[in-house]
Amino acid sequence: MKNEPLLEVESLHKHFSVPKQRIWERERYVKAVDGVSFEIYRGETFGLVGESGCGKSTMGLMIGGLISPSKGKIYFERNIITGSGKNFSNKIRRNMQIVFQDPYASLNPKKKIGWTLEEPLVIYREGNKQERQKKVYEMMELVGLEESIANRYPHELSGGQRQRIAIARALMLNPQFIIGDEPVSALDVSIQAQILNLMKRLQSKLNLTYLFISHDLNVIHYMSDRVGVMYLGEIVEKAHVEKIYERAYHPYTKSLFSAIPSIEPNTNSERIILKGDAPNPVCPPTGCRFHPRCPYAMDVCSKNSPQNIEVEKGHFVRCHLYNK
Amino acid sequence: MNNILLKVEDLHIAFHTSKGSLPAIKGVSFEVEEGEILGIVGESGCGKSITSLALMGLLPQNSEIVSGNIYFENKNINSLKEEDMQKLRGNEISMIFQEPMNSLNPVYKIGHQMIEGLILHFGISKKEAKERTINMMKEVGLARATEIFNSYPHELSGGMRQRIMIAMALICKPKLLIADEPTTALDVTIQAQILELMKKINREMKTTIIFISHDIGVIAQTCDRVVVMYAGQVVEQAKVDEIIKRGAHPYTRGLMEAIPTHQKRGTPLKAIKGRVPSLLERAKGCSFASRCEKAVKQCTEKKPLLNSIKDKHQVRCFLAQEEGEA
Amino acid sequence: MKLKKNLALYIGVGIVAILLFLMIISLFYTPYDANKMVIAERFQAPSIKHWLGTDNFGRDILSRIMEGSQTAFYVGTVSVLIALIGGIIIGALAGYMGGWVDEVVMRIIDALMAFPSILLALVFIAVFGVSTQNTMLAIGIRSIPTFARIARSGFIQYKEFEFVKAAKAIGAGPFRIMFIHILPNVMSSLIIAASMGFATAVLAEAGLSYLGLGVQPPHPSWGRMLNEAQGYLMKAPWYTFAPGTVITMSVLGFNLLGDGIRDMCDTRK
Repeated sequence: MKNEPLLEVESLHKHFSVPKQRIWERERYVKAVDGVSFEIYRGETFGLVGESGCGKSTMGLMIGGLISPSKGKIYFERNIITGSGKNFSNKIRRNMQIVFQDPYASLNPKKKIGWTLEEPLVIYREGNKQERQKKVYEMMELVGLEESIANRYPHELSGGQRQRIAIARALMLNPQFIIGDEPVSALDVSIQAQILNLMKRLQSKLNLTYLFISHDLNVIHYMSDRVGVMYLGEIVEKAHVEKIYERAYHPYTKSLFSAIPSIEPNTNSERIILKGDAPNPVCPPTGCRFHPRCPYAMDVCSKNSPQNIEVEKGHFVRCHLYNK
Repeated sequence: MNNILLKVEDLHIAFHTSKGSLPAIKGVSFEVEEGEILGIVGESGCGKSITSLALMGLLPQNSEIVSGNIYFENKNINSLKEEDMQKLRGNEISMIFQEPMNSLNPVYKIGHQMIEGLILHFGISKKEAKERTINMMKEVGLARATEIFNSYPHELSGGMRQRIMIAMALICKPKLLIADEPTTALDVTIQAQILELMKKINREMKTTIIFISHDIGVIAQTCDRVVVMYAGQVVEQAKVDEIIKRGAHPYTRGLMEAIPTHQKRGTPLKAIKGRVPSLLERAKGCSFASRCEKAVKQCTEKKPLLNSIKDKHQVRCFLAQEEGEA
Repeated sequence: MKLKKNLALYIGVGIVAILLFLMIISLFYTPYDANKMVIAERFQAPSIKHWLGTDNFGRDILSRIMEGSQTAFYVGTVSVLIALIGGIIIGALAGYMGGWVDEVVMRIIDALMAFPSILLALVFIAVFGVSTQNTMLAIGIRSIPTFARIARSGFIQYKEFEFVKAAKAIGAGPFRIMFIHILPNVMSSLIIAASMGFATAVLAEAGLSYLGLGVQPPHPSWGRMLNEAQGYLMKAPWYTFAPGTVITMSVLGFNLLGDGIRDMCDTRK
């Protein structure tokens, strides 16, 4: 699988300005994403996991080109796609598509399903009406929907059906790279399993590369080849998913794993229950951002920001515990 | 055996819509023993939330209890007058909801909202009410209680707000606490905290809890006994371990097999085909038959009954009964 | 269930339908020539021959009311269209673009709203001259702010929706998103406003014509009829009664229609 990366993210930052409370206040920023780097290889699934507010969705939107980063670079097939908007040409744009979280909100309620599916082809002026129609039906069959659904409106469909539509729409332009921004979080377990299976099947059939964003470690673990764990705008641990599962190094990752409510008896580790809430990203803690909640915090943790350490081959951790 | 605190008997609830009266709950019966945590698990639309609202006498206006009884401490409560029900609510039975932000009024300070109920129910002084409130807040793990007492809801995090809701629900020392998806809106690490708290409350304050969730993992970690609901019916109930190890209903098994875990990597998940039937669809036989892999002819023709296959393990499935008998 | 109780909608539809029917008939047939003066038949009270009587020039009031409805609908439709299109464009730009565009546009709109409507129309007509076109323009432009505000809030609300993000993700440009994706979702509240705007426009036209600044003679206009009639209030009360009633009814009808549509949309949610 190790070939050249399809997508590279280099020290990406996104700072949103906070509306001022008082007029003479200094401008403050939420550092939603603060220096994130990773690479995604062709044909693999890279999982991005973290809790709400950790910046994982912002990452997805930046890579998908819907918002522009404050700093840093993104390369797709070695071409830089950040910077001035024009570089993000249509050719690259159509090669990466996004599937969103809420299938109830991601389809236009006033448009029929057939129209929604055809739209990407209309925008890129592909084929004539008949050819486009044919492609719509082919794609619907591929994601397991009957043709008759093309004449329905979103509100007539179930959540699972809608998410299949959203996936079909993302695939209409034959992209190589799909960003899934919590694509199964709004679905019931039994439907979630259907969609995960579908995404797996499509991946091998169409040779797709996935960036899979989720808060659910179970889902991430099932879907991904490699995984990045995010906390307050940083990737604190990054490794092959099997490695991270065998041995998580970062205390935050450990606590995340131990917090998964599982029906299997918890054998791999003792339960770590974190104290307190994630801090406000407007004024993140000094030093290591996790230190106020960390059960292993040392003096150095509140002073210096930890470096990215390669603890095993391809296994990176941002934690002072593993300083050599 | 412990005393039965709450008993639901053949409950039927219908929604009145423009398409006529639709049955949402079709004959639900279960019992809650004093001191236990009973889990109710099921996917959206299975009727778990509407059942809990019925227990509180808080059904939405377009719905109604058609038949059946709810006994609380051997007293039938669904024939109670609204005033009497109001006394019961908050005092004897309390409830917490999924979204703690919606349950708090954004324009009042936390403390003000918390002592309001106390003063109303017990007629105690403001000072005493405040003291009791702050004690309860410390009890639910809010360390900076006095500070939080003077805060507005928007100044608190989701986890803190849910703790506030739990403190408010417990302040009158209710015998029964109904928690409707209390951790669904929270992050996993916060969820773990709240689940610990619920268990602590059950253990230390001897509060009986009905814990409603769509997540069988959460239920497995928190509850003593589980009721599995599907399409407005109880399809299985038993002790948690029994359900996890020997869940007998195909739906219960399907729910567990659909959860992605590390053992299942590389193989397709066993998804339950199709989707939950809408209230409009009425099956002649078992309501799960159309999605069930094991369905045989009689499943589509006759409705299965909820039968015991073992001591305290009941299943609504023809196949499970045969297995049990064999 | 609530549809049964939506009395406003039924009454509104009924009144508007009657007025519309009257207008369509008048295109082909009026009992008399609306402008034909018969001095011998001045100030006749309602009778079999003249259902609503005659005016100071002996013209048949019913015929004039019917022809006047053409003016009312014409002015109403055109000015609402001006307001609707202007409002959608301005509201879409302000709401969707946000930032300084929004700030500048909305301040202009605020300024426009600060003028009393009749004063604005008077200034407009004083500058550009008296004519039906200018009346419609004046009323239309004055109504733009209402529509712009509704459109803007709709666009602000929907631009954050995931389906808009999804459209961006497949490569849809801003105009496609504004007018093909968001607009149909905002349209229902605009249609409600249009119905009420129609009533306002009819009233405004009547008001301007009453002042002699609207539709010019010999075209019949309800407002000018009222103006002419007031001099003979004692002598021929039916003359005042007829235009007064139709103006009231059309304003009431379109307002009820708007209310009714809103209630209907509410229950569906």
